[in-house]
Amino acid sequence: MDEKRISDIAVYTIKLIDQTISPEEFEELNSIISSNAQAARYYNQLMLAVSDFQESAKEIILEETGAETVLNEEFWQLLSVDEKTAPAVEIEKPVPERVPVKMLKIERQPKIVRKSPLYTAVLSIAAMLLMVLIVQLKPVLPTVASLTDSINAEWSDVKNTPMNGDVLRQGRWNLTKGLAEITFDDGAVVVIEAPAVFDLESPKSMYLDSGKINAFVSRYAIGFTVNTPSASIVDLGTEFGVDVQFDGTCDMQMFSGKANLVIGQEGQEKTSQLVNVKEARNVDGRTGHVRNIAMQKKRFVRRIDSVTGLIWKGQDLSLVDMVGGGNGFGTGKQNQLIDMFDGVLSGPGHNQFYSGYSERKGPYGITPVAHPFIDCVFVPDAERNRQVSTLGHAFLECPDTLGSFQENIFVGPESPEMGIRKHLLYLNNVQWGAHGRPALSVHTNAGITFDLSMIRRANPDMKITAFKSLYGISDNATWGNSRKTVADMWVLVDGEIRDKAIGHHPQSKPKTINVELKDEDHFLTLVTTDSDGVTNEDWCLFANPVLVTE
Amino acid sequence: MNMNHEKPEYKLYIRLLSANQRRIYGFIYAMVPNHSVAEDIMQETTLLMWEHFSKFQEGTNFSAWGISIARNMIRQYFRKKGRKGLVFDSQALENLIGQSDIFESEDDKIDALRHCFKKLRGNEKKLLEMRYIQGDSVRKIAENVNRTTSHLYRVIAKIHNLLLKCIKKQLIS
Repeated sequence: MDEKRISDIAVYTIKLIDQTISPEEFEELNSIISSNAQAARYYNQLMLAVSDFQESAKEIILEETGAETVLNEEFWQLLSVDEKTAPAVEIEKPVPERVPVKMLKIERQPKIVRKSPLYTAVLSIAAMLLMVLIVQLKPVLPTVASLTDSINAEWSDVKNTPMNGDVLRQGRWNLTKGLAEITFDDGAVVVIEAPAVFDLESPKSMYLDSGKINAFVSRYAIGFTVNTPSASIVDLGTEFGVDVQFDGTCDMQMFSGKANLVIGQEGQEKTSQLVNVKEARNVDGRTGHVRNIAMQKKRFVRRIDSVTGLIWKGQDLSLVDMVGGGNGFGTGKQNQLIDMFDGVLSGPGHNQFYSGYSERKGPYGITPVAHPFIDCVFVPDAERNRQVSTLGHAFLECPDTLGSFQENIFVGPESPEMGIRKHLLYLNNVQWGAHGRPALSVHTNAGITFDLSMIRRANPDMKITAFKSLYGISDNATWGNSRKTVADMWVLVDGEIRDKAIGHHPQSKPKTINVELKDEDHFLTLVTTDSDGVTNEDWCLFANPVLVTE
Repeated sequence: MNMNHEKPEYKLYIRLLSANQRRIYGFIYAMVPNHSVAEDIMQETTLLMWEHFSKFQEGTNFSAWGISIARNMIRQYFRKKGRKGLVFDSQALENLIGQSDIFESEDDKIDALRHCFKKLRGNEKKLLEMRYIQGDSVRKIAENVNRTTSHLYRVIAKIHNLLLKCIKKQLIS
C-alpha cells in the first residue's frame, strides 16, 4: 500500500471512531478494505492501537506532557512541510457539522458484565415476553422433514418437542441432548448429535450453526446441501459428517461417495472443491482457509435405532460380521455358517454330514472355531456339555436339552447349508439377516463364544463397554398349532449368566439385550436351548448383535 | 443456561471477562463500527462464552477464545439481520475477520506504546492529550489552532500511523 492509501485509511478510521465519517467516506473505506487484505490488516491494527491508547492514555500521556500546554506555530510549520507531499488539504472554510451517526463512544463498556442480578432477571423476563410475542406472531411455516428416530432427545423448546414420526417445519431447532434422525422430504437422512443448533431450510437443505451431523444421501436425494457459517457441502450421493464449532470452523469428512465443498460467505466470491471418499477437510472459521485433515472414524454418529439402542459411529463391532469371517467392521460375508462339528466357517453349499430335517447329535464338548475372535461353538446340555470356552469356563446353570441341534449357526437371510429347510428370519414383521439388518441365527441347541480378549488385542484403542442385540424367535416359526415353538436364550460372560429369555416363542416381544462388559471380561457366549425338548423351528436369532465400543 | 453466581467457575469467568472484555469488544467494534450493534453482539457473545465456559482451558488465551466465538456471532448477526446503515459489506468484513489475529495477540503493547509516545514531538503529544485526556473533539481542536478539521484529521492520522509503526518496530525488536 502506498502512503496516500495508508493516510486515507487512517483518516477514515479516526473519523469512524469519532463517528464523524460521511457515508461517502465510509463507502470509500469499505471499498479499500474489501479489495485489499493489507488494508484490512492496517485498519485492524489502527483500531487496536486506538483502543489500547484510550485504555492507557492517562497513564502514558500525563507522565510525559508536563507543562507543555500550548500548541506552537513551529509545529504547524513542520506539519505544513510534511503536508507538501500529502494530498491537497481542503480550502480553509467553516466546516459544517456532520450529521453524527448515532453511535456511542467507544469507551463504553459492553453491558453484560455490569448486569446486576435484578437487571439479569428483568432482561430475562423481557426476553421471555418477547419470545411469547414472537411465538404468537410466528407464521405457520412449511414442513420440510420428519423426525424419524431419536434417542434420549431433548430440545430447547420444551413445549414444541417433536416425537418420533412428527413432521418438522422450516425454521430453527436446538437439540440440547441426545440424538435425532431427521429425514428430509427429498430423502436425505441426517443424524444430529446434541448439542446442535440448526435451521431446516427446505426439503433439500439445512443450515448447521453449530454441532455435529451425519448426512446419508441416497442417489434420489443428490444435491442435498448442508450450509454452515464457513462453507457449504453439496452432496453428490454420499454419506458425510459435518462438525461446526462455535467460531464457525467447519470440519467435514466423507464416509462414502463425494461432495462439493463450497467456501465463501454470502455475497462473496465462492470457491469450491471436490471432496472424495475417505477425505476430510477443515475450513477455518476466520480465514476461510481450507486444509486437509485426517479422517476420524469415531467422530460422527452415523446411524441410530431406538428399537435396538443402536448408536453407530462406525466402530461398533458386529458379531454377525465376525461369523461371516470378518473383523467386525464389515469385512465379513453374508450367507456364512460355522460348522458345529469342525468349527470351520464356510459358505453356500456346505453339507458336511447333514441329510436334512433331523437332529444332529453332538458334538459332545466344545469345537474351537477357525476365527481369531470366535473361541468355540458347542451344543449345550446339562448332562453332556456345560463347557463354553476353550479355557474351561462352564455354564453351570445349563438346562437339560436334547443334546442335539438342527442348524449350524449362520448369518444371512437363510441358512446356506444344503439340505436344510429354508426359512427367512423375521421379528415383528421386519426381516432380519438382509437389507442392512444383520442377524445371527442360533437355532437351538447351539452356543457360540466370542473371545473379547482377542478382540481387544486386535483393537487396542477401543474400550468394549457392552453387548447389545435384539433377540427373538422368527415370526414365521410355528406357534399356536399343534406344535408350539418355544426356546430359551442365554447370554453368558465367562460362563456367568448376564441375561436370558426363558420360554420365548415367536409371538413374544423381541427382547432387547444390553449386557455391560468390563475390561476383565474374557468371553461372551450366546446360547439357545430347546426349553421344551423339541428343536423344530426354534429359529432363534440375534438381531444386529454388536459389541459397543468407546 | 442458569448463571449460578456462587459457582467458582462463574467468578473465574467474570474475572477473565473483566480482564479481556475490552479487547473482545474492541474486535467486535472494529468489525461492526456501530456501538449499538456491537453491544448486542458482545452480549450474545458473552452469554455463549459462559454457556461453553467449561470448554475453555484455563491458562490459554481467553480473549482469543472469546474473539473466536465473536466472529461467528458477527456473521450470524448479519445473516439474520441483514446489513443496514454504515456496516462493512461481506467481502470487507471477511477481509477484516481474516486479519483479526491481531486482536488475539498477547503482546504487551502498553510498554511499547509508552516508549513510542516519548518519541513524539511535544505538539504531537499535546494533540493526543487534548483528544484523549481532555476529550476535545477534532473540530474543537481545529478551531482552537485555526486549522480545518480535515487538516487536523490528517495530522492526527499521521501521528497514529507513526505510533503504529514505532510499536511494530518495538515489538519486533
